[in-house]
Amino acid sequence: MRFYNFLSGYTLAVILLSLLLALTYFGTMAQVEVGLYDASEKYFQSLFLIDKIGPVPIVLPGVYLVSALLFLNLLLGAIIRARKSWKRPGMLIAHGGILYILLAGFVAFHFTEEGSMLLYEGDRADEIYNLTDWSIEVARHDAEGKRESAYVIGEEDLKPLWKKGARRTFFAEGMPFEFEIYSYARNISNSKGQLTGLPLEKDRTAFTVFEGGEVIDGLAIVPQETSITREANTPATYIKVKDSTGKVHVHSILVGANPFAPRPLTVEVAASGAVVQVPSTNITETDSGGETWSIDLTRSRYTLPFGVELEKFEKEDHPGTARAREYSSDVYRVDNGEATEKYHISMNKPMRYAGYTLYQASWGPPGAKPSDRLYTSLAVSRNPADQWPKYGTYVISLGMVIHFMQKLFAYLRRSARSREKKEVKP
Amino acid sequence: MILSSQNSCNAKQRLCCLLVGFSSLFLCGLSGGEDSYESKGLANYERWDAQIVELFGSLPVLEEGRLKPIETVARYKLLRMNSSKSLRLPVGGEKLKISATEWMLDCLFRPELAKKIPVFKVNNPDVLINLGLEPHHSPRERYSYEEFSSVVDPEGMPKVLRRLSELTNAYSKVLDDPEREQEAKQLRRDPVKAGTLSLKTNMNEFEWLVNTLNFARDGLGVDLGEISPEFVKTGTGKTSVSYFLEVFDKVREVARLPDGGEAFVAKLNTVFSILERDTMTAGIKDNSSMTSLAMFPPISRDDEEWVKPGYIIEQLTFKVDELSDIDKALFTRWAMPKIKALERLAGAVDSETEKVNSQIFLSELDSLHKNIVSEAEARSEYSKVKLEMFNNRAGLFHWALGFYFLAFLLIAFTWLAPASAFARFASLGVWAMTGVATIALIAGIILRSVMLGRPPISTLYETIPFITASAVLLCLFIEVFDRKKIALAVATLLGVGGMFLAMRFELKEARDTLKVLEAVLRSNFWLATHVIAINIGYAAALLAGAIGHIYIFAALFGVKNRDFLKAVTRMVYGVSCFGLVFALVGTVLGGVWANDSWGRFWGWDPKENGALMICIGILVMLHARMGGLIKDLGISMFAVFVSIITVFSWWHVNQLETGLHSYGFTDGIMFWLYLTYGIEFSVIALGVIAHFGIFPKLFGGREPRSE
Repeated sequence: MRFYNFLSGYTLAVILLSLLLALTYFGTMAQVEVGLYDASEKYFQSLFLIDKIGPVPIVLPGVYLVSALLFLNLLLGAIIRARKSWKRPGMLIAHGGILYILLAGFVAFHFTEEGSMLLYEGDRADEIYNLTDWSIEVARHDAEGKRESAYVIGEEDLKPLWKKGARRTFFAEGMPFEFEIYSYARNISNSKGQLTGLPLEKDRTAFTVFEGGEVIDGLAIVPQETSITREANTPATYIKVKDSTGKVHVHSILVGANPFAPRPLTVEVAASGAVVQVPSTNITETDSGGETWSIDLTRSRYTLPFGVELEKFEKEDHPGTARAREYSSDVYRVDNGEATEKYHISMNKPMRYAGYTLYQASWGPPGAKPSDRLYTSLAVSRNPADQWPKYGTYVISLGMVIHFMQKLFAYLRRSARSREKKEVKP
Repeated sequence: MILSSQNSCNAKQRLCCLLVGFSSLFLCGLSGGEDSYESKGLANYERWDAQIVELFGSLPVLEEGRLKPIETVARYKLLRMNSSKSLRLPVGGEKLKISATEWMLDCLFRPELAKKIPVFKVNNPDVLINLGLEPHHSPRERYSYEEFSSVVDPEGMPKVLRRLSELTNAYSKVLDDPEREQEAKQLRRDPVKAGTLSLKTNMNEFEWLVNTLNFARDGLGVDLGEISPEFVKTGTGKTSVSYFLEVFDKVREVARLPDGGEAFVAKLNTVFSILERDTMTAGIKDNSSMTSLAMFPPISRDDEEWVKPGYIIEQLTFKVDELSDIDKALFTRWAMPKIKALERLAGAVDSETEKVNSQIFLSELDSLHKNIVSEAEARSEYSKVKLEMFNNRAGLFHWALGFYFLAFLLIAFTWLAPASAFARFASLGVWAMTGVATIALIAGIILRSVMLGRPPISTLYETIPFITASAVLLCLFIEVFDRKKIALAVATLLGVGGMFLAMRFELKEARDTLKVLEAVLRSNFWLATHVIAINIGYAAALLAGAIGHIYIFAALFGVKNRDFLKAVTRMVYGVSCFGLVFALVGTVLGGVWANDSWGRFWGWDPKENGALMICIGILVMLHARMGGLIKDLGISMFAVFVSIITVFSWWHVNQLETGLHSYGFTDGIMFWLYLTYGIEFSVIALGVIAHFGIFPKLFGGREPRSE
């Protein structure tokens, strides 16, 4: 009972809220040094974290754990244990709303799928790209160059390779070769997106070859400082493609690429098992009668259950400036290859379909001149708790207004009474 | 009793001294610290005719995406260079107050005179020493352009200006190099280097401004009639640009003549390079030049982009082949009167002596003004320009500041004799002045809202008057019911503080505070709900902290009036609850907006986190009180802590230069932020001292058990 009282009591609420306050502050300040994503992972999405006060490491609960405990504390203290009376319905309602929003947070955290879609006018796509996560895609192509099947190594499997000296061999059933990834660099670009971490051999002064790395075809990987804006990083890695006996056939560098300019490593696998690197442009040619495969270090992508075709993208600037006043996309939903329904997506007015929401996020390319062709950038998300916070807000507002209005009127009544008393006294 | 009376007398004297000191400090801060340096060549400065100033100031121009009176453009240009929206010129032993519009008229039509006007404020004398220039005696004195340009090297080149360019070019290389980010950060923080860069920017802006109407004042610089008999001789040695535009086809014909064409072209080469430069300074389309005045309504009613004079010249010369014959004829008919009007205007000023023929100038300006304004009215664009003129002249925020200040002084004087008839009478005055100030403040906010056609808070600057007004209204609401003059005093102090902050912020930024919005912010529904709610939350949290100070100091000095202490606690608690409602609802509404715009409810963005921290801070306070962990003094200390969080959320997170809300970065405020934190944490520490009753013990008083 004592434990239950503690678990549902104000003391625990104060401790948890104070921890939440401190963690939010630390997590906010950490963003300056490590960026939003790394700070979020460390402080906001973790059960525990290790921070340092000076040189002394301390273990703290993460926001995830604190929020879970707060949920429990609220449920027990403010809903189950709280006195339920018509005289104070406001706080019950408000706490209910907060619980609902916390629940929405948990659902969103675990079940949300997010990505981006970049389309020029006339383009059609059914894939979305995650701007922060990278993956290696290994795909077999048919005679026309179309992808037939693909194996995907996601960000989580690549993370162990971030460590110095780490290397790993990947293989799968149906894949006629295996490949080894090593000396993976999280970023080889500078803040302007130039690949400064991939200098030519002749630029000897710029060379500090990665530990375990080497010069291949006059190029070497020179890791650059990781940008705190995670989407600005361009990874690169050394790759060795081997046959089943472990013999290295292709030794190359894989460089991360955006969806519009893929830089795959294309190989041809002969019937004998020999693997030969071919130019990416020759992806459709299979001289040896074998199979053509591509290995691509790309932003992680997901396929939508429907396609989208951009009919028109409009960007309107404030007069006499290059500052966007409004931008919008007219798109068609594509089902089974057929354009079906038309949608107008603009800022604050997304398209919603089949549990997915498509937002007008941005446009590009950055620094485009007025005459340049522009693409639209649509943010896509699938969040089962999409609208829950909105309803939660209504509930909280209602509860708090009821509660504080009751308090205010009580105060005003008291004030009026005490004034009356004072006036009577003399 | 005698001792007590002496103490009371001393206290009153101290209070009086404090008030006088505060007033002096305040007035110093308001004055902007402007001293003028007697510049040569200004002894015969002639002021512009008042009607000319009025008409010119009300000409509409398009700048930063918004149509505004030239007066506004002039005011902010001058503010950037001079740290004040007007000038005080020492002329003949007198100090003439020159408005920004007059100064701009000087720059455009009397450029040589304008170069003599001390207009550049240089805060750090090392910037000048670094450039090889002797700083003036007073750091408050301004510098004229001529002071920089007149220092020449043995080859006759302007030494200081060249040094300035060399230094800033070197700094720019660092700033533009992505590999030297750390070095760039240090450079921006270095007061001398940052000051040098700022001076260069101001110099460029000034140079651009004085050269804007070169084409109208100086013409081509040669007489076409003297080069070829095909053209009319002017007799003045220079052909006007309008004549050149009219005969441009013929100029090309003559240039193509096999006989003498080449020689003609050779003589025209210089003309073309000068014309190209003057076209640029007069402003072409798609050119984000510093000053060029987009002063002509576009030819098409559907087009929103107003036209700069340089664009007209460019279309009729360098880009004339891009127009069809019909378009060219139409454009010429529309454009030529505009170029000629500017030339006639410039012609009313003697090119040698820069003396203005006011009668001719006024008549030409009147005609130009009528044409532009009638077109603007036909496009339904002029009404807001008139409203802005009214806003500029009315200076409602300045009135609000003045009245709040007077109200504060008056209420402070009532503390000398709180129970006297004077105090009762003065209270009415305080109410009246606070009321007038608040009406002026709210009227100013509404006026800005009407001019921009959107809710009143979308930029960091706009949050200041809004939060001030919200906090003051809350105080007045409390005072109506409480009538202890506590909230009224806080209202006046917050009014002064808020409006003073707004004024200093405007000075620091020196940019037009009426801004057009980014696409994502252009949602009146969300601006009117989320942004307003969150800012009311900020206002309440700051107010609760401000009232919390009263309790802490009362407890510190051993005040034992329970009614008073209870009343203060009620206020702190009530205002905190009020703040929680708005901060929480505002924060969640922000998430809902983000969900509608970007597809994510919560992104742990620093600004979102700041708002969340305010909510959590108040929640900790309320739950700690309900759990019996803190009492009255603790509530006040917590309220002060929450106000620190509010300052962090309101200002500090914008300085982190990360996240979606990093729009509000303001250079050079970190010192003030840390000073605020230092003071407020000290107040909390005083609360701890008050809790243990140390202070009254030291002075022989009894322990105040305020809790």
